[in-house]
Amino acid sequence: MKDRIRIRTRIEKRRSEIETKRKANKQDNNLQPGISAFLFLSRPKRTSLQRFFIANDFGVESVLINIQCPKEFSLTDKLEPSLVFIKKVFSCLINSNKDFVLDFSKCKKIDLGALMVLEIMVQDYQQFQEKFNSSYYYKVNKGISSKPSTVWEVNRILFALGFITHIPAEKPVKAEYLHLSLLTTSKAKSDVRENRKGWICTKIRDFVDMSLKASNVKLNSDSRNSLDNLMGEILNNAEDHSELNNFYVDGVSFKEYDDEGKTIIELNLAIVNFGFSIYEGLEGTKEQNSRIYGFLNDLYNTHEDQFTKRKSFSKESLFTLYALQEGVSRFKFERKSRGTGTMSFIRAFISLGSLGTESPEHLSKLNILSGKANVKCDNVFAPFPTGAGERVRHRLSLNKEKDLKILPDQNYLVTNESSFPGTLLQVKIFMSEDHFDKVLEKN
Amino acid sequence: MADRVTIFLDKEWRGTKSTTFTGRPQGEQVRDEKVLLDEKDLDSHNYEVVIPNDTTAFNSSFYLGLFFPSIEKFKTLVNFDNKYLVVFEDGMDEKVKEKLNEDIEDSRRQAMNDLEDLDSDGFWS
Repeated sequence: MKDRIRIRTRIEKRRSEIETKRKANKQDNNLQPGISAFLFLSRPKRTSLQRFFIANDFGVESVLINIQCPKEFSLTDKLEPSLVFIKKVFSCLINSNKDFVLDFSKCKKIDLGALMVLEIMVQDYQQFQEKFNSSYYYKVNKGISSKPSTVWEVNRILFALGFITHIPAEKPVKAEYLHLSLLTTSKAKSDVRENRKGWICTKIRDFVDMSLKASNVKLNSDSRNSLDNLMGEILNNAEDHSELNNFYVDGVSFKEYDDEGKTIIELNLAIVNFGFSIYEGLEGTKEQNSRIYGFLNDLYNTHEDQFTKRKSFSKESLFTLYALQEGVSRFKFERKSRGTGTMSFIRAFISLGSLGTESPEHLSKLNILSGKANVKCDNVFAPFPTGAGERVRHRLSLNKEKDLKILPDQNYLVTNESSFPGTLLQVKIFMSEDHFDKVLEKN
Repeated sequence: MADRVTIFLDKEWRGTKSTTFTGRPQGEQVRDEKVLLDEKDLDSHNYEVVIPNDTTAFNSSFYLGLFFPSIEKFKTLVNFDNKYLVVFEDGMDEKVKEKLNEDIEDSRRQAMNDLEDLDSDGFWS
């Protein structure tokens, strides 16, 4: 008798479990009508990038047919609305098999970094869709289209990156551009010979070279070497910080003309890795890296003493700025000599774009967005050397005093409310033939 | 000079379709798995390390991955140079050589900065 009761209880328990599971499935299916087979089959097959974004609270927005791009689509200048837009797009990619439209009609300003994150998501989804369709009878063919902006400059970059197929004719001039195309690599490669970083450096160098050719400038061996070095260092850093063991690079350059008809090249480059932020990286290794972490804390205490009601900074943003200084690295404990790459990159690009010092409308901009911190660098606050001879270290203080122990300018070090799940380095520089000759002579 | 043993840095160690030696892990891998510098640090030979033709850059991250543990062992650059001399393959363009030398000098500057035992004030000054 007791046995029978035990068996019945077990059966009831099992039924209850099945019922709960059924209800959960039904609820899930109700959320995304008409896609249950797709979801059921695809879930275990999601790409690592999709899993990363889901873990970072992407994919919870409601599914829309028309997704409105914010007025200013820029992760470095308007992070919050731009992230919301990106999250909506991601939700539509993974939670629905319906076609949708990226509506840029109200967008007045856009930058490469933000558009590149969209590009990465869409490309990753397309690869996922291709794999899925080759494995299952049930086919998915999601259509993603874009509605152009009313602003010519926005349409120009949308066109260059392939988001729109033509630029609505508003200007009598054609868009003249070069597009690097999205490049990525994985550090999972076990042998030094299989590493693709050097190849990507070469691609970027050739892209810059081609961009400059438009203004009759050709990179010489000096500048080729500098670019190879810079790109190598910065890609090494991007790779080190990635949770997914890779990074993405894209670039686009535009040919423009000044009032005298001389060619001006606008060069945009963006590098992104997804994973922990620079600050999280430092915090995560503070036990092993106690000496360097102690130095950072000492500097933070010096800065904290200067905080006022009007002027203060988050620890995250100040630590991000400290992390860019030569000699600082979260890996210092592993093999001692690390932590120079980002500073070399900033120095070189600000120097390449020094046309901005002569002409304010061509100000170079270099942004590093990492987690909630946003470091902005331009021709006004550029890196400077301290010390002499072999003991030179380069510093970026972001203040007019050129003193790292004094608080930075609040316009140049910003803490956002939202957090970007990784690090984006974005550069915009302007170059002209006359100016580039000067840069080459000087450097 | 004549009795130095040659270590040739293989073009393949620059990676796929690359003309640049780059990456700390790549430098460390070459050190640990290809040229076995930990063992060479301890032997009685002196070496010349040859950078191959067609190299356009020799990144400090690669240089430090490859050589920093040796520099640390030999304590000064003079001692390190006695043991390892970085040279270029015959026929390399003079201008390229000049730039690669600058890369190497910059890497050495960084190595020396890191060998200094600084306190917080010294580090930030």
